[in-house]
Amino acid sequence: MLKDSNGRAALQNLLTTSLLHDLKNQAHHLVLGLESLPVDPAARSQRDRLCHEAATMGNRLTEVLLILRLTEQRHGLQEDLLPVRPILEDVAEEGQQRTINSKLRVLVECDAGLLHYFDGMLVESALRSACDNALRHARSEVRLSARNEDSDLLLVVEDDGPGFPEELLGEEASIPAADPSQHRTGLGLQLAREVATAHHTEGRHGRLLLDVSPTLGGARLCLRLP
Amino acid sequence: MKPVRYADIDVLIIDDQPEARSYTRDMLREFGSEHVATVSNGEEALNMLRERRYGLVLSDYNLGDGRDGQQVLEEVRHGGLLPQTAAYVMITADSSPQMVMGALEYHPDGYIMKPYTRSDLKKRLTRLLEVKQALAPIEEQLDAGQYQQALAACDQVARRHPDQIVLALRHKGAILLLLHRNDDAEKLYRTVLGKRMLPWAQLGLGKTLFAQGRLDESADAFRTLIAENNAYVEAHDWLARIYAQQGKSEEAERELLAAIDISPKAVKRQMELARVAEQNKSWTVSEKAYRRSVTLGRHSVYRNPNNYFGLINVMDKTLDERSSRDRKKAGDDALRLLKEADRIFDDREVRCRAAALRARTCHTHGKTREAEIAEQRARDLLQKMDNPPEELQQLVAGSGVADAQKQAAFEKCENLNNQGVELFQNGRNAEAYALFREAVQSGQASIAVLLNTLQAVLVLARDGQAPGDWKQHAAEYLGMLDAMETDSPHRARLDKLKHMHQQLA
Repeated sequence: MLKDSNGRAALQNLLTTSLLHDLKNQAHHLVLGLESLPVDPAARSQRDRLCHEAATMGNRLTEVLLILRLTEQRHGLQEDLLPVRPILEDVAEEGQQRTINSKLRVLVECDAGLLHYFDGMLVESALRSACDNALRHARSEVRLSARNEDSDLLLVVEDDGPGFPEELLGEEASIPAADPSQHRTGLGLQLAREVATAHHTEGRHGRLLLDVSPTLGGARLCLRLP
Repeated sequence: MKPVRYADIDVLIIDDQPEARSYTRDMLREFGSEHVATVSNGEEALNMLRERRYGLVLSDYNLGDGRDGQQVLEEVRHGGLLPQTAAYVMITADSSPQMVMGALEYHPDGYIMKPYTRSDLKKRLTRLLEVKQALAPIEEQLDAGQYQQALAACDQVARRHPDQIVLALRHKGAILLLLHRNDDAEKLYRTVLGKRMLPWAQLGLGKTLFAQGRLDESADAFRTLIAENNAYVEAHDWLARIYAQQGKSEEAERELLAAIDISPKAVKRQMELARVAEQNKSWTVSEKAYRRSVTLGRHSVYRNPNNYFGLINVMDKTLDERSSRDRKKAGDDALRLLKEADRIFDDREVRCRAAALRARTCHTHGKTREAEIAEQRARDLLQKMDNPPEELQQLVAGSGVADAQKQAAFEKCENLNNQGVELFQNGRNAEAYALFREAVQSGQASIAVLLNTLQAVLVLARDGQAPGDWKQHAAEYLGMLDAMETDSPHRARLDKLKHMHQQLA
């Protein structure tokens, strides 16, 4: 059985995917268990922190699964004409709740009536992971914004932290491999790039651009969807 | 927009894990829900849904044994157990294609992916319930069957909630099709598609062209959709339907196989493939599809005796090509399936058919005695039916014998015997014996016929009217009778005749 390399690759893929699913589900149970734990007020903030850790763990695993799904390329996008603002608001609210630094603010700038064509679940995951990333580096503010530009949708996540490392800036820069010493896996950026390029119409693909935020001075991530 | 009031919405939670049920219930109560019911499996869920109008159903995809979330949803939609205005939300720990695609066909109103926190759940549910609230003017009319009013409501909703324009348009296209306003539907879908290739609009266009009888264009539309987004399984189903109408049954089979490759769990599609492949004499494909229909159907509204019978028929087709061990396995398998069908379908016709097929199967596999019992049961059930279909009568009549020729011989034998009995009762013993003897020589004589024949020849011998070689005749009949199993009423008569034979000899 499974003697050829295709079969082996498929098996490895299956094992990886199931392992990730299991871990993600365990993270889910951890969150639910912690949330329902009765604690006295003194321990509450610690419990909340653990909850957030577990939820973040689950989100990371979801990102990997999404990347696997996108690279497998078997199933197309679930694209539709969707309102943009509710997604930014959800991501901001979640980010705000997850952050432990109470001085950090997540702001949203987007017209209520802005609509665009995209895969809601994929774009939301990419933004969530970009927002989490910004929150880790920001000093006081993370800003999520969206607008139309030449019939494209521009989704922007920026902060007032130290900014992306030099080698990441620009459009063609390659996203580095995992670097555990820096608490950086590059996974979020990789997901953002996969999500951007998965969107296409009439031969034009979405793009990911990393640069310096002109208003906040920190990192700026732009997802440009056709 | 009015804020969502959880207190006004009755909630049903379906989850096989007790802890998950109570977490979710507690969360909903925290959001303000007053009526929250929980069940652990699909069966209970369907019962609850039949009894009460719920506004929100939260179903886990994995429900342990029995139906899964997709199958519950399939049955809910099929049976109209939930109004359009209600929200069905699938909770999944799993984003595997099979699950996502399977569920796509039966359209839950939303998904929630694990893991989620309390606030995640509230946010997502509230968002979804707000959307349902915005669409309510359309969906209330749909629930009332008022399509004209629902159509008007679509434009009204699109004006009042520009961010929900897509859902309003999707409803509008579907309603236009329901109202057979195909040209308007075509215009709507083409307008949407002029801006962007959206799978739902492409699917709608394909359906519209089909409704207009423009089969080739319709097929093109579905092919375009598949090329763009292979996940839209319905497109394959529609293509299969078009091919079937055009008499291209092999192409139809191929499309159904493609759809099943993406989403293997939908019973209806497996049933369709089984049927089409049977028509194409693709026995192996058909057998596999029938078998999956039976397995998947066990927990579904599509549980259907014809899947069992179809499977057995198709298995019979390949019987000759099987090794003797496989033949035996197939036979045992068939008998097991028939037993199951007899047990779960409380229906005389189904049971009669099952018994007739059991008789045929037993005959084929040399289980004569069991075949006779099954055949008798089939005959009994047939007699109790008011208007048995012609084809079933033939099946029962032919169930015990290999072919029509044998059946005809059997009937001829019975006829001869009946006439013989009448003559014998009128004392015309020699004529009666001639008919009995002819019946025996047909090779289909039952024990009763043999006993009649033996009695007639012995009576003739006693009266000195028997043919010269009557002793040979009698020995022949006794030999045949000894080879058959005779039960008690026949036994006593046989003993008497043996005694008479000894005295005469």
